[in-house]
Amino acid sequence: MSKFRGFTLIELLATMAVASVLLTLSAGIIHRTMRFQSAAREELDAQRTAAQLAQQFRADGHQAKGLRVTDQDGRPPSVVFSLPSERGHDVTYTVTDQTMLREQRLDDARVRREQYGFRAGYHVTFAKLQQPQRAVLIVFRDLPGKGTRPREVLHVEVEVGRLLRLAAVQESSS
Amino acid sequence: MSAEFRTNRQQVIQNRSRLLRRGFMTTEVVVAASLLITITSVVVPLAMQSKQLWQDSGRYRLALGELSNQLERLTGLEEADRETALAGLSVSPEVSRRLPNAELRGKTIEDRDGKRIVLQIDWDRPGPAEPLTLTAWTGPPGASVTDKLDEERVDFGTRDEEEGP
Repeated sequence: MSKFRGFTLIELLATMAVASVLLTLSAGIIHRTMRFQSAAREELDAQRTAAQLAQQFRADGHQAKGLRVTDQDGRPPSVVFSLPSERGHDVTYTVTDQTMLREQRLDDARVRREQYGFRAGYHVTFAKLQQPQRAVLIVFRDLPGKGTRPREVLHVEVEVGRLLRLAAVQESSS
Repeated sequence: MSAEFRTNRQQVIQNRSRLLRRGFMTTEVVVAASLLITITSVVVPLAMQSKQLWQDSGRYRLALGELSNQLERLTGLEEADRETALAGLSVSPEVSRRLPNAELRGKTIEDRDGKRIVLQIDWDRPGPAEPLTLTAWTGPPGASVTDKLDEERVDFGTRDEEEGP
C-alpha cells in the first residue's frame, strides 16, 4: 500500500493545540468587545439622561426666584427652586436610589413627577454657589479600581433667577 | 537484486520522504504572513481610531460643559466684576485634570451685533483643531455703536434718495 491516509497522533495533537489557542484568543477578544459595547451603551444612556436632566435643571433654575439646598445626614440630598407665583409652584429635585426625582405641584393639587434613572455606580450631589447665586448639579460615576477618583459625568451650574434679572434689566431700559 | 525490485524500492523511498516532509513551503509562509499582516493592519488602526474618537467626544463634551458653566457665571456678574473675572479666567480643576494643557480665553466684544462675551477653550489634540468657542450676549450695542449705526442708516437713506427717480 503506497498511499498514505489519515493523520498521525502528533499532527492531530498539534492541530488541536493550535486550534484551542486560537479559540481562546478569539473568545477573549469577543468577550472584551461585547463588554466594551455594553459599557458604551450604558455610557450613552447616562449621557442622554444627564443631558435631559441638565436642560430641565437649567430651565427651572433660570425661572426661579430662590434656591434651597439640603444635604443633611439621614436625608436624601435635595434642591428646591422657589418659583414666582405666576410660574407655578416650587420645584423639588431629590436624589433617591439611582434616581433623580423632579416634583412640582400643579394647581389642582396633583403632583407632576419626573424620574431620571442612573445605573449603579452613579452618584448625584448638589451645591450652592454665590456671586452670582448658582445652583450646581454634579453627577459622578465610580471607576473600576481601588483608590480611583470618581469621574464627573455631568457638571451644571445654573444662575438662579436669570429670567427675573433680565426682565428687570429690560424694564429699566425701556 | 532485480531491476523491478530496485525501481519499487526507489518509489517507496520517494513517497516516504514526501510524507515525512517537515516545515512549510515559502509560498505557504508568504501567503499566511501576508494574510495576517493585512488583517492586523486593518483591525489595529480601526480599534485605535475608535478609542481615540471615544476619548475625543468625551473631551469635547467636557470642554463644552466648562464653557457653558463659565458663561453662566460671567453673564450673571455686574459689568465691572465681569471684566475682572475675564482677566483672571482659569479652567476648573476637573477640566484641567482631564483635558491636556487646557487653556481658557475670554473677551468682551461690542459692535453692531451687540455686546457679548466670547469664550474659547483649547487643549492638546492630535492634528490641527480649532478651539471651541461659545458666545453669550450681555446687551444691545452701546451708545457709541448705536450712534455710528444711526449715521450709517442716514447715509444709506441719502444715497437712496439721490439714486431715486
